[in-house]
Amino acid sequence: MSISLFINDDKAFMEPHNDIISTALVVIGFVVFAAIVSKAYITFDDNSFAMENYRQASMIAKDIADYPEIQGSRTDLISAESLDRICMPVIDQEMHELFFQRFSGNLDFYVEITTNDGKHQWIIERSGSGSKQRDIIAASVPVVIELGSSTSCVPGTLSVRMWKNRWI
Amino acid sequence: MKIPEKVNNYSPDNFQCNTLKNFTNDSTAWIDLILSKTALIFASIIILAAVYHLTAEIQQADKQRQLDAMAQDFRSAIDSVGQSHYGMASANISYFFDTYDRSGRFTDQLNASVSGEYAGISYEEDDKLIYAVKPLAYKTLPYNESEIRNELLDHFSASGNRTQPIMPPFTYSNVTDLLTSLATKEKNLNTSTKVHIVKSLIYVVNNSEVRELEYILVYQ
Repeated sequence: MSISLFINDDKAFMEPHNDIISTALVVIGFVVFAAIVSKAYITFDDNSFAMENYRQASMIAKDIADYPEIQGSRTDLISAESLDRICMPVIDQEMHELFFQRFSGNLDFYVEITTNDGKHQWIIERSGSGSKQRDIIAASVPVVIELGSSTSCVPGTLSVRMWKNRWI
Repeated sequence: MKIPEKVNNYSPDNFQCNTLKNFTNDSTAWIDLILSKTALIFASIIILAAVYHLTAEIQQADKQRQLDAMAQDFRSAIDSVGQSHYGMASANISYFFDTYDRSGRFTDQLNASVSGEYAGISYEEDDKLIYAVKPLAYKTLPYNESEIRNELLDHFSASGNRTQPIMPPFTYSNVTDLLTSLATKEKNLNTSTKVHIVKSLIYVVNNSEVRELEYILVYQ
């Protein structure tokens, strides 16, 4: 009954409105599709940036853990005394400069070394580096820190935290 | 025959009133139809243009990704040399750009460059430049070993080798300042020939101690 009413209706009242509704649906569908595609792309871009930089942060963390100037009495130990000299506030300016000498000035990062018991923390930061920004990527390696003498060694973590470069 | 008297009853108010009545009494829905079809055509044009642009953008983003991957690979090669200990085999590598594929893309138009702070790869197509730039983790110089040693010899009267370290009154900061200024120059690389990536040490005597300054040399 209702279908025959539509078929026999020659006033074309519904016709233009149907077009508008279908057009609106197509436009809304397309906008939703574009939003999903752009969201997926942004997520992919963020993840690939994080992945890429995590690899670099991890490499720097391993490199710093093996840096001879901060090694303790054995090559697998990190000397707390050396860390005291180059952490903030810096006591040995020359050693601090040499620590960052081989790293590119374009790379914004700082190093945080903490003992697992939370009693000690050292932050080694490049002087003149800008304020810490968002989008920080961190990579950590386990280390053993020599406190005073080789008989007093505590486990700890060496973390490299880097943030998104301004010009990328 | 009686000629009907022409009545001139035109006035703006009458005209507006008549037009409005015509529209309201018009049951054929022509205006509605024309308006909706026009809107449909405009919407279709906008959607088609958006789809076309989206496709073009995706194609460009795809090329951008390819360039990003290549720049990342090049950067990783330089960084891996920086991370390795001096004197090890991994501290001296030859790198080849992976620029060839079966479809022939990214062959001749590909440009690579390196400077003290970043490695970049760019590609020009239809007067449009796509580029990927990656910051380097370690200090890099786009020179070969002899060029650097000659520069040091000219400025500090010593090549900075283990046997000929740079002596006071020159300090390591004088050396790093010189090398930083040299590193600002960008060097273009030929992507079809191999690139040498070498770790080099520069020895500086400072307060009776010999300091080692590490640099990565990238040259062809």
